[in-house]
Amino acid sequence: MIGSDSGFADDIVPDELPVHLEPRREKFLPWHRVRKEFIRQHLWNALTKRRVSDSWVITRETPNETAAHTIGGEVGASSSAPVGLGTPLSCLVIPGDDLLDIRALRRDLGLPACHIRYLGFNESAGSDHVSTQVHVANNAVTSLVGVARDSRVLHDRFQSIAKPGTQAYRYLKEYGPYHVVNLDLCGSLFPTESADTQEYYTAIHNLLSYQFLAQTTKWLLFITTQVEPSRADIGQFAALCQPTRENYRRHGTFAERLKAEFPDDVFHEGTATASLAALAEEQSVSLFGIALGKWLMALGHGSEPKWTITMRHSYRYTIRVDNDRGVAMLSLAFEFERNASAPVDSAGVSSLRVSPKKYKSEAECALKLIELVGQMEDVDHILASDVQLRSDLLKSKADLLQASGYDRDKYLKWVDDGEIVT
Amino acid sequence: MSSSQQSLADQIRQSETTRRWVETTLSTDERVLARITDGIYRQPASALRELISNAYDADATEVIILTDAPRFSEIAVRDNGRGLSPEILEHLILHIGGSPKRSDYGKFLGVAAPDNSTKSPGGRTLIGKLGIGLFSVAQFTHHFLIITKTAGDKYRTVADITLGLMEGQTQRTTVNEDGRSGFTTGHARIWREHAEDVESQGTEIKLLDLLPRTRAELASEDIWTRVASETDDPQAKATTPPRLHIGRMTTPQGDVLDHQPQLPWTEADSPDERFCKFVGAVRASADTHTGSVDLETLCDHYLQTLWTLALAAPLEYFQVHPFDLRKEDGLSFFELENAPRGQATNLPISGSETARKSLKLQAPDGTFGQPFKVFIDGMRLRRPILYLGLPRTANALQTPLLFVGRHQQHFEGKPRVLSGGSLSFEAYLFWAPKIVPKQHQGVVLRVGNASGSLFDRTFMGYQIQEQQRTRQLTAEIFVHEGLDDALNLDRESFNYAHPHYQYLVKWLHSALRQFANKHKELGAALHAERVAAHGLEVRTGIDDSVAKALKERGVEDVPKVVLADVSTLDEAGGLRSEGAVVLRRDVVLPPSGARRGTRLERDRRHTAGSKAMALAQLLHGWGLMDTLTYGEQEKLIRDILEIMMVEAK
Repeated sequence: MIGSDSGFADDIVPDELPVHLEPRREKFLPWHRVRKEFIRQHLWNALTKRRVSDSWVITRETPNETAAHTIGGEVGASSSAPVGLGTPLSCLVIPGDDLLDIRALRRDLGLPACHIRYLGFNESAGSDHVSTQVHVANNAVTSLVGVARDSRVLHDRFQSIAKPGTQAYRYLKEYGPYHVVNLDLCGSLFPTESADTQEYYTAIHNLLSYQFLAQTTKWLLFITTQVEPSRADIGQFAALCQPTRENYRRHGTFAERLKAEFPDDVFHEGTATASLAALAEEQSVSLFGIALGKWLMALGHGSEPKWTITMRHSYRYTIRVDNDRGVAMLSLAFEFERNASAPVDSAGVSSLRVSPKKYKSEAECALKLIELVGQMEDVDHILASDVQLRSDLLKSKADLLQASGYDRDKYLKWVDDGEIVT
Repeated sequence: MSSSQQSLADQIRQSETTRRWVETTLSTDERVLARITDGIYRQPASALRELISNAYDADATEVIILTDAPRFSEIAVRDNGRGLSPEILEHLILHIGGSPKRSDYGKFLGVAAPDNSTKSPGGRTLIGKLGIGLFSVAQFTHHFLIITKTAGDKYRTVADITLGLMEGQTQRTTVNEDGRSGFTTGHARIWREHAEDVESQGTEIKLLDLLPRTRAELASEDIWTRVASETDDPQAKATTPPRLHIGRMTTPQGDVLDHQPQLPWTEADSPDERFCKFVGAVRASADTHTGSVDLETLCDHYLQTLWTLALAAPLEYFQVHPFDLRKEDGLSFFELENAPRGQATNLPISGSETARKSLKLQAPDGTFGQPFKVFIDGMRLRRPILYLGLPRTANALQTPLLFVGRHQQHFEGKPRVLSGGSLSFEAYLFWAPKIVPKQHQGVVLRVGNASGSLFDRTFMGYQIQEQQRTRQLTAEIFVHEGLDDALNLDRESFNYAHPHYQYLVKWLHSALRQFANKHKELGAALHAERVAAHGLEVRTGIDDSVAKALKERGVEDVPKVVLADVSTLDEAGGLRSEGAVVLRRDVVLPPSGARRGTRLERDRRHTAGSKAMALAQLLHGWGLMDTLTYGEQEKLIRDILEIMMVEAK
């Protein structure tokens, strides 16, 4: 047929003329608030720094050893080993457009102590997005001394790793295994009626499956998520609580501790839906923290070899959503340790005396989990009561944003005006 | 000076305080150069090669390329070279094709050495010269970012560039303020951003919105389409995917792979290990097939691109620079004579000595001075030409041969404008029974240790019938001075009429003749030695016929064939690894109705055996067996024998 579109032009001619991206944005966003700096410094970076100093044999780069050295050979084979000379701290992050988390991590670890290599997930990193911000920020961060130059931010959703056949999962393996996984999620892990959270959980499950097989040293998992009990999908929430319920049934001490926090009928068989719905909002927030931690612990306990998962001191704060409704944000920290021990010669044939390594039992970890969820501090309260701390954090944050190309004075004014996001 | 009169560089610098971008059009003074931004290259690898060359010229020690294969949604090429100042960027954008490299202005801008405009400030011989390399990205996309920074600068410069006309533009011709005509080739938005990393330097080119056809080519869509269509047709002979490939996305814009990568390395391998395993897999494929190893059937387009880049860039050799090969590596060395009727002579090298030391050869392994490393998707590239551990074949001559030459031609007495000035080069011809892969058969010309062209299998138009011999030859010519002006715009071909090119043609053809003579001499000597050593007289007229036929074909070295009493391919494999053509007697010789053990049957089998060996020698000598598996070779010989035996009756 003459004149009709034969389809031959498909894949030959682009659909649109190329258009410029927008230069960087100057607008301040929720994660520019001072309290996020608290989370970075006092939770993420503090724990990472401790892990680094605990495990590093040698913490300094040799002279002239740049990120090129990282590319030169040691990365893949040794990132499952304790971090040492030439072995970078391997991080999986959801870093935002300015990569502030990575910049802050490098700052707080202190040079020349650390050498970071990261893989970031950011849906807005791609070419079809309007901003150059991620491209420029990634170039800037990977140009810093102490950051591997092949670190990258993908134009992919973190959830894409839920499927082993995805490009995202390929990258996960390419840059892993990881010493630090920081999932500062835009979406929520809390099951609500409006969002299907299963993909997130599948992604985390797949991430853990990979880490459990590939990683051998201790590693950290940070999860930041909002919790909205008023919109809970009770069915999904109950499923998440299943490992907690199971533990409640099997272990008296664990059950006693839970009874002290929650009504008796919450964990009775067959009454899950009704009893969860009846929980007070604060109880739901706490129960979510425990349920998520217990779910992770169950995965660690069910793997071979086993992994001990210990919750670390964590924090919470409140964000304002539509109609200025307050919603809890939890910023949780977990440490993962592989259960591996040298063989003990119980027959005494060998002269070698090996003491079997003691790992915390799942029960111990579970009790600690309840305790730490109960002790979660509210960052907003901390900052309100400690003016000096807030002032110090504000200065750090302003420095960080200035280094990222923001106008410092505008930022200070924005904070002074109440950190209002428009 | 008004804003419109300010230089673009000044306007770019002002964006540090105004925090506003500068808008400008890309332009060139020459219409013909405007075509460059439409794309002048044939393959995506060319564009990457040009960006690597730019990094090299900027004295980078490292280039990192991230392609997002097999999705290819965007490609980043970043180096740690000197970076582009606003002034250099201005020149680049407003004078495409008017590179400041190799000019006094280049010295002023700091892109060339202060005392030598053909060298980089770091002393490297500049590869680029026209300032068009960057625009090779038109092969990939019409939209890219340049993010660049010079050492000591408190800001990095960002340029967002679109090629071609923008929405609403219809005219490419513009008139500059000085009244001259210009040609618009694109549009740029440029601004500066505060940098924390004051001392860092480098340039990142980020290719966005890749053109569909380029993406499809990189992703080997043609191969996968063929595989899929033949899968749909049960009657058709199945086409399998290449043995090595990077995988395939279900849809170009999707995030799921429907074919997982088949690669010889794993994620846990270091960049060096990956390349080692890649080259190892290509080499190993020669052990499973008697024919040539062909990258085009072994690898998908992506892996072929990696290989091509590894060959083109000024990188260290994977094994060793050929000039650094030693006698104890098991080679024979010869020196080429620089005369039309010259003859190659033995190069007296002993033990750990090298041709480099013996002849004071200069061509560097990689670069002079600072190293230059190229990483692509986590793999470190090196020049993948193999000289050691190559497969053995049926050839009697098994020892690799290295012919080395060097020459300086000043064209004394000739006008410089006609001769093009001095030409200085070093070269080698490497012979081995089998060159792996077959893409390395031929000669490559390297100017400034880089090459835009692949191996030329014609050896610059060598007319003499040496097909068999030249298939066993890899050659490189390292041009230290001259030839540069003979390079065509795309740096992938040469102006054949240029005196330097013509001179190299003559020199190479003389070298080939010298090599062929020496090779014949060695082959003949070996044949005579073998006959003498085994105390053999010529068995029958068959042997003479084979030797005569192959000689007419230009093959002095009659392949060694063994008829073995083994029943399995595995058993034969052991003998084959020693370089012999091994035919399994029971497979090759046609059965007869005669009772075994009779004299008639013994004679028949003896004659058939001799004929089978002769057939194999002839077919191998003609190179006709190269594409066949061992099993297929045996079947072919058996089928021919059966016909011959029928005729005998």
